[in-house]
Parts: sequence; structure tokens; C-alpha cells
Amino acid sequence: MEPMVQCEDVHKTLRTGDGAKGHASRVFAGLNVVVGRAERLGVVGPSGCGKTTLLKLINRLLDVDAGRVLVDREDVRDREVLSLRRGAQLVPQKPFLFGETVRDNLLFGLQAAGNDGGEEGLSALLEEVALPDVGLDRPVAALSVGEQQRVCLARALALRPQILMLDETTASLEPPTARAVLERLYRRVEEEGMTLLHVTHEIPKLRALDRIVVLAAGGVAEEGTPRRILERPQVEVTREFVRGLD
Amino acid sequence: MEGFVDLTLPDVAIALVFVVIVAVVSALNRLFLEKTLLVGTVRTFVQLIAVGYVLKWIFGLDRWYLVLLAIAAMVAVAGWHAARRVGRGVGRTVIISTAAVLLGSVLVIMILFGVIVRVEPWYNPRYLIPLAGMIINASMNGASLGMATFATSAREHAERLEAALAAGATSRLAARPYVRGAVKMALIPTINMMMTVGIVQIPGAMTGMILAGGAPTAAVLYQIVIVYMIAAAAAASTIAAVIWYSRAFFTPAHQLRAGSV
Repeated sequence: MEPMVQCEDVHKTLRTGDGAKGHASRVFAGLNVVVGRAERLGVVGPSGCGKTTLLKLINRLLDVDAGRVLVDREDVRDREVLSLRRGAQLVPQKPFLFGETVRDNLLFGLQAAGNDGGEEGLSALLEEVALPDVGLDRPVAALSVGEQQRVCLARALALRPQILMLDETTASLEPPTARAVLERLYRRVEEEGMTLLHVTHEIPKLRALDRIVVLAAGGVAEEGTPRRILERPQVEVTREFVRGLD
Repeated sequence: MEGFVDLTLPDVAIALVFVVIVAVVSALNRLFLEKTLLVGTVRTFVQLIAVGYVLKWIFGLDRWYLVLLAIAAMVAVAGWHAARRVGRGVGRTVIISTAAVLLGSVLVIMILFGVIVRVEPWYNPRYLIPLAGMIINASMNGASLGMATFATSAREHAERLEAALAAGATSRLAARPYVRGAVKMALIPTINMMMTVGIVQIPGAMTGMILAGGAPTAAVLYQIVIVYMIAAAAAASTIAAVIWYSRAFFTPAHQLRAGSV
């Protein structure tokens, strides 16, 4: 398996506030994870185990305290950070849209990269996220939360990333919509050879993935195929997680 | 100057009677304003008496570097005070606010005294100190309000800022809406002042000149220049302060700086 993302002995403590009022919580103490090229990886674990932190270390919204994170065999700190982020798109749980219209959003990352190129493919992207009736000129203020979330997904896809990271991205969608969106998305991920990291709590989404890692207590508690993790969990953390699934 | 009536300490005592009445009303109604009022009354007296003597001394200065030193002290106090109101992370903030106050006010003071009000000698403290004071004050208020507004909205919208960075924005692009909002907010008092000056309130400098026997028309021209200069200084300092301060919220790698939000 050719590695796309490698976390090597990663240590990370998150600090909020500063000085005496600050609060620090240790998230990773020696995390090791490898994600293969074009692999579809599920990331699960109890809240506070560092799922979101892991994604942010990959696109360098955060830096490791010790250890290193490699993307495409290169330390992320040696990469030009904006191009790293365009290539490793993170779609958070809460949708945030920028500018006035849907078009502004689909062009957001491209324009930030100084690419004022054409709009071809943008409408197709909307179809891809099950928004065929939403035009590019639709004001973002007129979108429902579910529609906003899908525009965020389309915005990420517009950059044609090598790595796509979903952080409970479809949690706010109605189940049938979520299913339709993910089905197409997984197909696209496969066709384009994208590497997928998917943080989710939902079994059907987990089953469609290649492998699952369970994060807990500063590192990886266990990993394996979805079937193995869901049916024969080997550590208590995973058993608890599986029991808690719907 | 003719028409100028000197006030004496007994006159001041009579003015104090009204403050006492307010204190009594406050006590009767349990508004608990008495203590604050007392502190305010004493401070007003002590500070202004002190300033009177300091100004008397400063107006006697006939060395340009002593006058500039006095202005530097005013800028330093203004910068410190602007940062103090912003709160958290004062160390860095104080440098930013002082630099912004310095930039905005010094630029304007130089234009004012280099081109418009040509006094002899150029550092004549009777002109330079009070006018510089008004300009530095405007710079301080703008910088302080702008930085505080930016800090509040950046903290409130930290997740959104991160989402913009994740979508590929530079930190400058991500912060832009909040920079814009903070500058706009901070300049509202200045714009309001420009809109209502002379209608809602007769500005202090003009009142002073008229009380001191100056012709109202001459006082008006002075006041117009002062309003323009105050607006320019406030705008320049606010823009500089908010832009520099917003940079302090991010690392060079376009990340939110830990502890800033």
C-alpha cells in the first residue's frame, strides 16, 4: 500500500485561552496512523479523542508538538501551506459559506489560489451533491442548512483535492439525502483516486469504507475492516462505541 | 483678552452644589451612584488642577525636544490605554496600538503644523500640545474600539475563520470581513461627530475660543480644521490598528494562533 498520509509518533496538546486562564488538554501522545493512497478510512472514537484534531493536523490548521505528519511522503511543514490545504480538503460539520452566491463559494478556493478561470463543471458539481435545482446565482442566504452543507461539499470538490476529509459532514442531512450524496461521493472518490478520511458515527457510512481506526487515550485503540470492528471489537473503547451506535 | 471672565475657587464650589444634589437624589433612591460620583468629582478636580500646572510648565518649554517628549508621552499613554481596553494578550497588543496611534496622529500633526497652522516657532507648545492632544485622543479611541471589536468578532467566529482557511483562503482573506466590520464600527463615533457637529453639540475647542474672546467665525475655521484632522487621524489609526492586530491572530502558516481566539 502506497502511503498518502502518515502520522508518525504525533504528540499534540490543545491550548485554549492564554496565560494563567489558559486550559490545556493532551490529545495525542504518540499517535501512529497510515492512510494509503485512494484508501477510504473511517475515523471513530469517543468525543475528545482527537478525530477533528487529526484532520486539522493533516491540512495544517494545527501543527504537531512533536513527531511529524507526512502527506504524499513529505512533511506538511515543508509544503506550501495553501496548496497543501487545497489538496487536502476538510469539510467540517457546521457549514460556513462565504460571499453572496453559490458561485462565490464554488470559486472561493480557486480564486484564493489566484485562479480566475472558467466556470465549467461548476453546475455539474451541484448535481454531484444532489442540488441540481440550485443555480449558481442562488444567494447563500436563501439556502437551508442541508443545502449549505452540500454547497460546502461541492466547494471542496471544486478544488479537485487528492485528500478529502469529512468531519460528520452529512450529519445534518436527511438520511435519504445523505445516502444519495455519499453514494455519488464515494463513487467519485474511487474514480478520481481520492484518499478519504471520514469521521462519522453512522453504521451504513462506516460499512462502505475500507478500514476503520478507533482513536482513544492519545493514540489508536485498534484498527481493522469495518466488519471486524463492528462485529468483533477487541478493546473496551470500541465495544462501547459500537454499543452506542444506532 | 476682552470679554474673558476669570473664575475663582468659590465659583467652582457653587458648581459643586449641583453634584451634591445629584448625590443626595441618588442616595434617596438607592441608586448607589454616590461613591462613583465622589471619586469622579475628586478626580476631575485633582486631574485638571494638575494639568493646569503641567500645561503652564509645558507652555514655558522653549526646547523643541521637550515638547516632542511631552507628545511622545501622550502617545505612549494613549497606546497603553487603547490596549488595556482590548484585554487579553496585552503585551503584543500594546505595541500594535501604540504604533497605530503614533502613525495616525503623527502623520496628521505633521500636516497640520507643517502646512495649515504655521506657528512660530513650529513647536510652539501653546498650539502643539492641545491640538496634538485632541488628535491623539481620536486615534486612541479609534484604535481601541477597532481592536476590541475585531477581537470579539474573531473569537465569536473562530470556527468560521478556520473553515475559510480550510477552504484555501489566506489568513488575510479569511479575516477581511471582520477587519472591515471592526473598522466600520470603530469609526461610527467619528462619523456621527462629523454629521452632527455644531448642531447637537458645539465642540470644546470652539467653545473655548469663543469664551476666550475670539471671533466666532475664526473659531469656526479652527474647528473645521480640527474635525477634519481628528477624522483623518482616527481613520488612519483605526485601519492600521485593526489590520496589524488581525495579523496577530494568525501564524505565518495561515493558522489561527493558539490562545488568540
